[in-house]
Amino acid sequence: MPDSKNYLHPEAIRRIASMELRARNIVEGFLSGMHRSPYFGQSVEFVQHRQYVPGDDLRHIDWKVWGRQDRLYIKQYEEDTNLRCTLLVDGSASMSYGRGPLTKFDYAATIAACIAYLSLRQQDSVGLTVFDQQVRTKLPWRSSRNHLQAIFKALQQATPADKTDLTKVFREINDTYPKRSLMVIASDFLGSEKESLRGLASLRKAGHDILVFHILDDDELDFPFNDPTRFEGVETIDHLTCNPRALREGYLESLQRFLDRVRHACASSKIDYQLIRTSKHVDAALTAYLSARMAHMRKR
Amino acid sequence: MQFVFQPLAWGFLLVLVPLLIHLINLVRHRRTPWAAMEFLLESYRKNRRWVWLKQALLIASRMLAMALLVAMLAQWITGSKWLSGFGRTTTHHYVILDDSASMGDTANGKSAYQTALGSIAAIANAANQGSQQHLLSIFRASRGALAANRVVESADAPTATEANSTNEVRADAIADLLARTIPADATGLLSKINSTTPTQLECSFDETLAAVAPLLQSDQSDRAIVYLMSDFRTKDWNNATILKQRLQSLRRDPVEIQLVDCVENRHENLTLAAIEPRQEVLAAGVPTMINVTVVNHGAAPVRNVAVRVQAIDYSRKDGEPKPAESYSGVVTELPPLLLDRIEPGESVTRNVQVVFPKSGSHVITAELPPDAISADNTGRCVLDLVDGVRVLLVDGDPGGKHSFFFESALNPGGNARTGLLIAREGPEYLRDTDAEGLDPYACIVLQSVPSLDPRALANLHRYVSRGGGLAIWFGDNLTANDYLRNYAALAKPISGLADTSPLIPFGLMGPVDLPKDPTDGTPDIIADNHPIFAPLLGLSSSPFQFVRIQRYVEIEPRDTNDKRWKPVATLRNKKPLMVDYSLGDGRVLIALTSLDRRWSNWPQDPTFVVAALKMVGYLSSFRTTETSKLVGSGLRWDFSAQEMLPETQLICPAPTGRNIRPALQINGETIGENGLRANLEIRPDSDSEDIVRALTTAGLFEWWGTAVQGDSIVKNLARNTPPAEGNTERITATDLSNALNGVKYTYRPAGSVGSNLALSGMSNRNLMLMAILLLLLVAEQWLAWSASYHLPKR
Repeated sequence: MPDSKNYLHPEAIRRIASMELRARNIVEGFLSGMHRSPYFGQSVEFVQHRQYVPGDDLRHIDWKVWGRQDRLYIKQYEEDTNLRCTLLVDGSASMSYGRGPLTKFDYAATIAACIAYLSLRQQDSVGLTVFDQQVRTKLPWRSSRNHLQAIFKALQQATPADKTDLTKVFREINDTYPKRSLMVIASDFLGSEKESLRGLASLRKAGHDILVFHILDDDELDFPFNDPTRFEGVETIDHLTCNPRALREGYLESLQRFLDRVRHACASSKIDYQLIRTSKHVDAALTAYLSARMAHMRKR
Repeated sequence: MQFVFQPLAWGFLLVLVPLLIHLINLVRHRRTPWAAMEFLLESYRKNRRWVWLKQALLIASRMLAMALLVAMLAQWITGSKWLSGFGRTTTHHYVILDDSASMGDTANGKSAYQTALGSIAAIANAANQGSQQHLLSIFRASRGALAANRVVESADAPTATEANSTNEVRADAIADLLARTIPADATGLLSKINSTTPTQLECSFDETLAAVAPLLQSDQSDRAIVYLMSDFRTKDWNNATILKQRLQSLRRDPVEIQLVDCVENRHENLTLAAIEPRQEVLAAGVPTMINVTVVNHGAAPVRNVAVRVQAIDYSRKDGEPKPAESYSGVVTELPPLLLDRIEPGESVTRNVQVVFPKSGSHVITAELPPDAISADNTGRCVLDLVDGVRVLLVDGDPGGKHSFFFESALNPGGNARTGLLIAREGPEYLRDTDAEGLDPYACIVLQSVPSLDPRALANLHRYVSRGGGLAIWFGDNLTANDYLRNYAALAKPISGLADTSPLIPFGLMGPVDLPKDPTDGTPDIIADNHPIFAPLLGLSSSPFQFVRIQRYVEIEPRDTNDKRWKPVATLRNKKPLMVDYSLGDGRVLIALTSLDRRWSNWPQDPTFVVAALKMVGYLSSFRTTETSKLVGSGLRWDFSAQEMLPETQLICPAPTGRNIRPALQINGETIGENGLRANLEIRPDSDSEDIVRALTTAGLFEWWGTAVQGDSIVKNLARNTPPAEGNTERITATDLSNALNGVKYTYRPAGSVGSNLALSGMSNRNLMLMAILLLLLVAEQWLAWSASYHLPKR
């Protein structure tokens, strides 16, 4: 029997073009590996009945009412979902980098799709925002299964471009999603560092629980270049021709300081932070998400 | 910088390779879009200077490593004492080889020259036994001497630039080997010098040392040894002032001077010192006396020496060059000369009488029996005989009464042949002819020609200036006033010519009677030591005992001390009777009396015939070529383009051990309007070994040309070994020390050369270079590592 973890490897993920299939494969594989039911924490607080209309989930039909009155009614609870999850995917040009199986954006979109799939399967409502220096795609919270298709389509159609401006984007998101929710942010945070951290803090102040997936490519983390190279900025006009090995140590030191600052800022704002390599399995991201979800549910 | 393998020095261009690779790598970079530029730029800003410095040091270290590698392969030679202390020392051996004729001194089948070559081989062998670096330069003294002669000749170059460019003898132009590394097997290296033989020149080390001195000054080797390999003859070393100065001028430290003696003992040797005709007038059918002089240069008397004499006749019209034979002419063996006894250091002269019936070129050779030095055993002279030597008598008397005595003396008639063809003309002939019209005459005798036309004076002046001989005899029956009036023109400067010197260089006072005072028995004529009176001198009593001079022409007292002329004969009263005056290339002989009986009875005396013949011979000798010259003299043939084709062939003497005589093709170069000159000389741009051999070899050179009618014409040139080269007397060690006082040298026999070559210095300069190279490579690796050119292991 094949190891279910194999389905989570980026190389395996890359072979599945459809975002839906990709998400289902990953999540089912992930969940089967956990040996636990995905249906936990479902809300059961009843609110009212309403008459059945075609398209409603048959599972929600109150068969006792039908038996007594021969009418089809749907049981409605206080909420249809357990929680609201907002997926924020960085679609700036810097996310297009990747020499491995997946670019950073591919990886972020896959994580977002998987979380959406997992959330909707748990009756959570999911919203999606793809942004660069402004919000490019925005989908409201929905808990219906049909919403999943919209999310997949939005993720598949998004192409990395333009710069990153998280302050502006997060302000707009605050307006778009006023209710408290679990915000899952997938970004490389390569832009204005201070503004990005300020934006995160503002989201946190608005009462959102935030899970940050800091997605970086292996090249960016290891800088393995050997030959003379002309590095050309994807979001800036800067360029540098150099012998990479001569600058490698300084680069890694500078990057590490950046990561430490981001991690420290997240910790100080009680933001869950997860540094993700695009070469690693996606289960780490999903596990982090489920942990964050549980924490979010406990607070409620 | 000097290198043993100089061509490998081009490898220093490889030092540019690291720089080029660096530049190429910069150009060949790949492009990568990069998101995290901020951190990369921060790293660049922080490390920029340090990275640049490390890269610069890295490239410099790689370039230096490359340079060291090339220096190691090319065998760098340096004069630095500091470096020589660390590395292998380089010794440069400068061998200057005496290849003069005396180095052919042979004993036990081995010549001094061969001994010297053996010493060079010994040096090469000794050099190969050590770990030191040895360079070898070989020079032959003859090359330096020949080049110096060429420089001297070219000093008369028409332009200053040309003269300056050839003002010094360059060592590289005369070297047989120059700074060559001695390989393990030196046979090939020495093959060229081993194939050489001693020349027949007389040459010294002076010119070659002068050429080598600048080379020594610029020499970068650690040690220099100058070997002078010679036979150390007294004649060369006893008064070697110039050589001493040359040796003292070798301003290089350290330089060792080793005098290598290539001869063990003095050997007995006879030298054929001279072979030449005794008389000046050489004509067909006239008996010619050839003087042969032999010198005993040995330490013991020799007896019964037979000198082989040959006459070679080239007068045949159908003669042609025969390189395969000893001579192209017809060889006639003459009776040998027998010399009874020759004391040590003495010379003996004997004469051979030969008669050539036909005019043309003839050669006489004389050969001694074999002895230690063979080069000086043979001598030869060339006699270019004419049918008759033309003499012009110009008589002021239309009846020719003054010419009678000369005609009788110069052409007595009967069986007595003097070889002279007498022509008599009046003074007007000198006026009516041109300058070239007088050229056929070997000499001109003026007799009683009191006045001459200016044109006649100019013609005579040109004739004498170009080598002609003129005799002036005064006339009779003239008063003092007549003399002052008529002969004044001869004593005045001649206008219209470049040289306005008069034909008579002094003023005339007029005729004077010689007082009769024979009481002391002094003859009226007192002859000086002059060729004219040479046969009459040395007798027990004066041959002029019966000669009476009654009248003579007196010279103005103010001109008596003029240095331009000298008296040949004086009168009893110390007044000049006959004077010899040099004008241009010719001579004027002025007899201050007349042949008239009222002036003198000398024409009736037998001494007059001798004096007249000798006078004609003497005056005609300034236009005749020498019958022989010494080796090293230039070989030149001037001929008319109207008579001959420019292509000529010079057949040189056969080299030692070969029978075929080498032939050189030489084309005549145009000189003047109709002249051509075939010239054999060493040119700076073509130092042909054949030409050098021809110029350093004694023997008969047959120069063949072709007349425009197609007949072969031959001109023979004789070159003899300098007689001094046969002198085998050797200088003693004491005399040598005195002669070279102040010069630090080592004198050693040839057999011990090479044994003292220090073989110390096991350390190797290349090892030092390699150690530096390794250190440099380690430093380069450290720099490369430090510049993050090597990724750390994870």
